[in-house]
Amino acid sequence: MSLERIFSSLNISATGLSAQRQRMDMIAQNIANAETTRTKQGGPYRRQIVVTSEAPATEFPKYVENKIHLQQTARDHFKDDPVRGQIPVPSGTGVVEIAQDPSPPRLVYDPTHPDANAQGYVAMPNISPISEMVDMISATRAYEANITALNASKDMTKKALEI
Amino acid sequence: MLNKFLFEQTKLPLLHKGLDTYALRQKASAHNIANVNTHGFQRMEVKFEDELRKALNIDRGMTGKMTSPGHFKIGAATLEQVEPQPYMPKDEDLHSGVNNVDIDEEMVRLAKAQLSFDFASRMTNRTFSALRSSIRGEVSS
Repeated sequence: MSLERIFSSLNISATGLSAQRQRMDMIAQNIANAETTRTKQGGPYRRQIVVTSEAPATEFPKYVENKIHLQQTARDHFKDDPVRGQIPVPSGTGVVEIAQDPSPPRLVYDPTHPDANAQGYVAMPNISPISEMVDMISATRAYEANITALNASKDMTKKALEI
Repeated sequence: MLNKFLFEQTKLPLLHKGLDTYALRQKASAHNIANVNTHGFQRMEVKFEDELRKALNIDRGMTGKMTSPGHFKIGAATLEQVEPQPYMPKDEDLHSGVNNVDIDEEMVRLAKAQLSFDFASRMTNRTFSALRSSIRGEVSS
């Protein structure tokens, strides 16, 4: 067994930790920009969301394919081995893109604001502090769960080295 | 030769498979926990015990001997042929609609894998020290 394989389960948890941290960064950015009405792209700031996906397997997955298939015509015939297809490999997660929330900006009546339109309404970012807080708690808890998995694999590696 | 007379007489081959399986289970749990917020993700599990039970069952019926990798597997596998196998259970998404990872269940699976690994590694240690004692002709205290 190479060292790479010993640490592969630590790497899986590391991908989870990094994804949750990026989520946390985006939430902080959204809260910081909750009142930003001017951006480089023009218009108010738009809520950013981190989109994660299952990481592609780094190890080469095994393929199981029976070349010949056995047909059962009587009860005491042999059974064909039913395992077929690709064996999945645990690989972790990854951030695939940072997407924009497509919901419309929040309109606030404030005629004294320099960015107010003719009717006196200002287009504010589509950010709700409450949903950001909920996302933040979810990211924190998911981060902790990944830490627990990381500690488990650390302890197991230590135990294996004591054999 | 030493392998056959010394190690294969003990539970070491079985413990070896156990350690492999529990390490893979821990990996699968870490993978599921890492993807807890991934939309449309399918969780992974590792199956091993059912195949092992068949392999350890003395009354295995008629079995075929494989001398080439292209041979058919007939009857239950022997212990050496049983491998832990990752698969994706086809269960429904939870009511959150994100994916089918239940974080509580996953943490329980993680703890189980960790404790089982701990058990198997301790048993391996004891088996080795028992072998050592018997080679030296010591009377265990």
